[in-house]
Amino acid sequence: MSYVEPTAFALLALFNKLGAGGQDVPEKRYDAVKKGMIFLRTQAHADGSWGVMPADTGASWMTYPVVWLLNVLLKIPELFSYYGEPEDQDKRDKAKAWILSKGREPTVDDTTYNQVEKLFQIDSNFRGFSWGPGEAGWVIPTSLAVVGLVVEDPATMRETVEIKNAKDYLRDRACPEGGWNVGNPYMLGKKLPPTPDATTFALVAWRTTLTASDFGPNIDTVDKGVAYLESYFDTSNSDHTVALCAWALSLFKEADAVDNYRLHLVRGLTSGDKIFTYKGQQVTKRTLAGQNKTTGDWVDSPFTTAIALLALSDDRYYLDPK
Amino acid sequence: MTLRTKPRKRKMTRRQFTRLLLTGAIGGSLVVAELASRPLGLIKWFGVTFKRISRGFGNASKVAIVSAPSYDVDLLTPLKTAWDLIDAPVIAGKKIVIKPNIIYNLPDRAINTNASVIEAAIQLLQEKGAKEIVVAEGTAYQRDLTDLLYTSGIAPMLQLHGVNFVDLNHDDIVKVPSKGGYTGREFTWMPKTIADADLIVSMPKMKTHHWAGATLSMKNLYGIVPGVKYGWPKNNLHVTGIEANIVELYETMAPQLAIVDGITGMEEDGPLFGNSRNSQVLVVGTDLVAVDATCCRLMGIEPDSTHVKHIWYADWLGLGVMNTDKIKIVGVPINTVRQVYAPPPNLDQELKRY
Repeated sequence: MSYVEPTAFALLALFNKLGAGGQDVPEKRYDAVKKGMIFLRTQAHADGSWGVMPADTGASWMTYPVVWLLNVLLKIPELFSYYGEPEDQDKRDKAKAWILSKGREPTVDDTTYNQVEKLFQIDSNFRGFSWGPGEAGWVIPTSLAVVGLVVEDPATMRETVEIKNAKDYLRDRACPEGGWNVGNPYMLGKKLPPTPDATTFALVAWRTTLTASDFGPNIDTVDKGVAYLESYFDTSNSDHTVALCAWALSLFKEADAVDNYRLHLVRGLTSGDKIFTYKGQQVTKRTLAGQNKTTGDWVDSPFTTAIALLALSDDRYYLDPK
Repeated sequence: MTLRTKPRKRKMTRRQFTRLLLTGAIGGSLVVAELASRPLGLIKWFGVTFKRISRGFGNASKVAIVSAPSYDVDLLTPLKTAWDLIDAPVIAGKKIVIKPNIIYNLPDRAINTNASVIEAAIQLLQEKGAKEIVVAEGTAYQRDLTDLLYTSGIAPMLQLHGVNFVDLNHDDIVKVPSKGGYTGREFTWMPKTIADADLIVSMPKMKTHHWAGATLSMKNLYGIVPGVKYGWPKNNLHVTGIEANIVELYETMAPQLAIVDGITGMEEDGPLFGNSRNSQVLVVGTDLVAVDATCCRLMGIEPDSTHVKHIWYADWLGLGVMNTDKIKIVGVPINTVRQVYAPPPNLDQELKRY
C-alpha cells in the first residue's frame, strides 16, 4: 500500500544534488523519482492537504513533509528541470496556506489553558502543529511543519508569528533533562522521559530555525537534546532509531564525530534483524530506487533507508536548498 | 318529500384535536429525544436496553483466576488450567493476533506486559493449533518501539519461537465501519493485521489508570489504532471521550479472549508512574467486560460509573457483564488473592493540588 510520508522522504533522499542532474542520473533512479512525484501530485486534495494514503480523503500531517519536498524541488533549478512540473508551485502554495490555517492547533479557552498548565506544566499559548486538523499540537508534527515551511525562505519564514510561536512551543515542550517526547515533558507532576524519534525531528527543526542571534538563549535546550541522542545512540537495537539519531547528530556535530555515527549506522543497517516488519534496509541508493514499484510509491522500510541517506549526506540540500 | 340538506363541512371535534395534539407532542418529543441523545440516540437506546435485558437471561460469564507466583516459574501450566476452566474459543486453524500492552521503558516500573506471560500464551495457542500467531502493538508514545521490545525481553523471546511482531502504527490501514456509534465516528482506520484477524487476544498488564480508573483488556485496545492516522499519543481518542472510544473499539473489533498479566500489577499513578503490587495471578476469560470487572475487584476498585466508567458503560450497553451475580469466578477464589491497590490520582483533586 502506498503512503505519503515514506514517499516524500524517499524522494527527498533521492534529490541528493550529486545525482540530480547532468549525466550521472541512472535511468532507474530518474524513473523512480518521476513516478514518486506523480504519485504525490495525484494524491493532493483540493484544499491543499494530503491524506495518509490514497484511500484517506481526510487531511493529515503528511502534508508537512510534502511541502518540505516541494520547497526543495522548487528551489533547486537543476532538480526542478528534471522532476518538476508547473503545477508544483501552485500545489506548494495551497499546501502552505492549508498548514498555516488548518495545521496549527486551535487556541484554547482560559479553563482549558489552566487545566493543561496544571496537569502537564505546559503553556498552551504556544501553538504547535497537529496530526489532524482541529487537534492539539505535538512535537513531531510541529517539527515537520516548521522545517517544511522554513525551507522555502528561511530569512522570512523564521520571522513569522507562526514559526516563532512554534519555536516557543518546542522550547516549552523540551524535557527538563534534555530531548523531547511526544509533547508531554510532565505528566501529573512526574517527568516523562524523552524519546529518540521526537528528539531527532525537534533538533532538525531547530537546525532550520536557529540564527546566530537566537542560538544563545536556546543553546541549552539544543545541547541537552544532542547529548540525549548521543547517549541513546550506542544502546539502540533499532535500525530506524539509529538512522534517526545519526541524522540529527550529523547536523550538530563536528566532522569526525559525524563519520563515527555514519560508520555505526552503516554497520547497523547491514545486519538487520529479520523479525520485524518495520526494519532498516541496506543503505544504498540502488535499494531505495528498487523499492519504487509501478505505482511510484515507497512504504515501510524505505522510510528508514531515506532517513539513513539523509544522515549519510554531507550536502544539506534538503535544509538549505539553493 | 325529501329534504336536501347542504353537505356540512366536517369539523374536528375537541377530542380529535386533543388526540392529534398529543400524538404530535409525543412524536415531536421522540424526535427531540433521539436528536438530543445522539451519538447513542433513542432508537439505539431501545436496542441496547433489549440487549441488556436479554443478556440477563443468559449464562454467567466465566472468568478464571489462577495463581502464578512470579515470572520465573512455569506459566504455561497455570495458563492451561485457566483455559480448561473457561468456555475457551476454538483456536485451530485461526489467525491470531496477541495484543500485549507495551508502552514505555521506565526503570523499576511494571509498565509492560511481561515477556514470559506472552511466551506462555504463544505456546498455548500453538498447542491448540493456531494457523498463524503474530504479536502486535501500536504504542502511543513513540514511533519506533523496537528498542522497547528488546529492553522488555519480548524481541528475543519472539525470535526464539519464530513469531513475527507487527508494529500496528505502521501497518497497512483499512477503513472499518464503527459499531455502536458512541463516538459519532462513522468508521475507524484499522491496521490490516487487526482487520484480518480471526481472534484478537488482549493481554494487558493489571494497572490503575489516572484517566480511566483502570487499564485492562478493553483499554488495551487503544493500542490497535494506527499512529500514522491518529498520531502519537493518539490523543484524539482521549479528547473525544475515553469511555465512548474504548467501548466502540471493543464492539468494533470484538476480541474474543483476554489474558491479564496480574503477576505484578501497578497501583496508584498508573499506567506509567505507579508502584508495583505482586498480585501473583493470571486472569483469563472471553467476556472482556467480566474479566476487567473482576480485575478491578482484585485491585479493590469497584467498576462502577464513578471509578471505572468504561466498564460500567460496556455493561450498560450489553457488551458484557460486570455484576458479580452474572460472573462465575473459576479457579482461585477472588477473596484469597484480592489486594487493595492505592487508587489512581483523582483528576479534580490533582487540579486543586497544583
